[in-house]
Amino acid sequence: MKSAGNDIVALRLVDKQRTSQFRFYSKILSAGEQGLYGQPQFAEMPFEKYVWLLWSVKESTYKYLKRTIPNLVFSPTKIIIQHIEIPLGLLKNKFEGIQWESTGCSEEFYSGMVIYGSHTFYFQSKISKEWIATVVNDNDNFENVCWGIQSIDHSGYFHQSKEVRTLLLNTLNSFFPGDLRVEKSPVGYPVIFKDLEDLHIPVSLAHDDLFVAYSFNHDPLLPSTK
Amino acid sequence: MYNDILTYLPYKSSFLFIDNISALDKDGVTGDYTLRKDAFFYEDHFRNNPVTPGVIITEIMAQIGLVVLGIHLLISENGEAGLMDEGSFPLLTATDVSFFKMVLPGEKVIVTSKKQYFRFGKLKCLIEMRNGAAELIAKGIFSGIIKNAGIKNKAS
Amino acid sequence: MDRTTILTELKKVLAPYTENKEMLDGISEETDLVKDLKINSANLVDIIIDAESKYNIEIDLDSAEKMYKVGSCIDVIIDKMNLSA
Repeated sequence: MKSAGNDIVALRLVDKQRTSQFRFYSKILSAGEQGLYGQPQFAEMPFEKYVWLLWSVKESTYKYLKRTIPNLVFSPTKIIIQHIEIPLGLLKNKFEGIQWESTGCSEEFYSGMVIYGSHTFYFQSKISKEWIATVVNDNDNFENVCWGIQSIDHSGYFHQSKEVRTLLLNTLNSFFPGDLRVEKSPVGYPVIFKDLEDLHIPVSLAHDDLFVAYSFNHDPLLPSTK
Repeated sequence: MYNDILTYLPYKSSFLFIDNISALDKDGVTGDYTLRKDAFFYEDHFRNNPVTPGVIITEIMAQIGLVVLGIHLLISENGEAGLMDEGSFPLLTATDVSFFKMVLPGEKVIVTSKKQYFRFGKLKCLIEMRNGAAELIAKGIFSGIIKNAGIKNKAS
Repeated sequence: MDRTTILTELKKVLAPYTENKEMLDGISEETDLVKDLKINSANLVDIIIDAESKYNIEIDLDSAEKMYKVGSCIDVIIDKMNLSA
């Protein structure tokens, strides 16, 4: 079954000192992942960014899995990142606008493979000055994966929650006209309804501080404007 | 003007987002589009507060900046025969776009695309959209594939 | 130390990570940290570390993954305090 998983981490709120303590990062990174940081491609990445990059991949993977395994408990060290490619593109670290959206695979992203038990997933992450954002898929083809980020004017749980829903519906509406709304399943993942009908579009929502983010898997065989 | 190329586009009028192509060569393209006030996406987005959705902005940038340029590259390489079968039409595969300003119904937008590379059938462009006052609306990287061109490029 | 005392102390540990102060005042063992208190999951590790410092205990990974409800946090804290006692 197709699912969706994303995450965003606001770098402003990261406690660098605490993140660099062994007792903190050892609860997030497996031994192998702690070793992976020694690879040359991370020479210019501060350790706290590395930890939170991996955190966002793990959290996104957990959200992807939670739709099919409702009893799943998040244990970051059991979701293991196998390898990470760094961006080759031109736009790395740039985010100056009010909103950002992406589909497909891009050389602008960090990417790699992650495993949980016998499941394999692929991730793409973007790191700007202000945030780290990740999206996860069960396939390394991201053509049907759409994800976006927007900055908001103030934080606060209910405001973030409202803004991230507006941002998502705003994008979904271009594919699916009509009155859409976001409900929560008993397990806690978002479900998209049009009137009384569940549209079965796997979506994932995230927010942290002044940023909200969504991702969804859009199957082109479903009715759409494209 | 370079509007002849628009006859090669397969979009129906409700999903064609190009009015004019004002510059076009192998390295890039410039074109414009004026958002129709009665466009289908303003109805729900949002009620009584119409704003152009990001995916429509992205689509406008892709049609002018990637598809038109892609077709131009195919025709200049292979002549019209380059477009003979459906498999050789440019297909958008990846976008990575930052948005800086809103676009309201009725606004004219100008799209400029610069080719980053075209090889093995993959076309990658850096595309910008500006409004009539030359203010940046959106900017990003777009990639697309042209299947048959890939085979031909590899063979040559 | 009894469960009620730990529950009261836990409110102070959780306070920096939730905006939902009313909910926090009324927590029970059934309260879910993420779903009910709207604590960002990125702060769960902070809460574990803060609990470790407060009770001078070490919480291993298997115990840490149980700590998503107030009641299970209390279980883990009592368990680890008994170990170090």
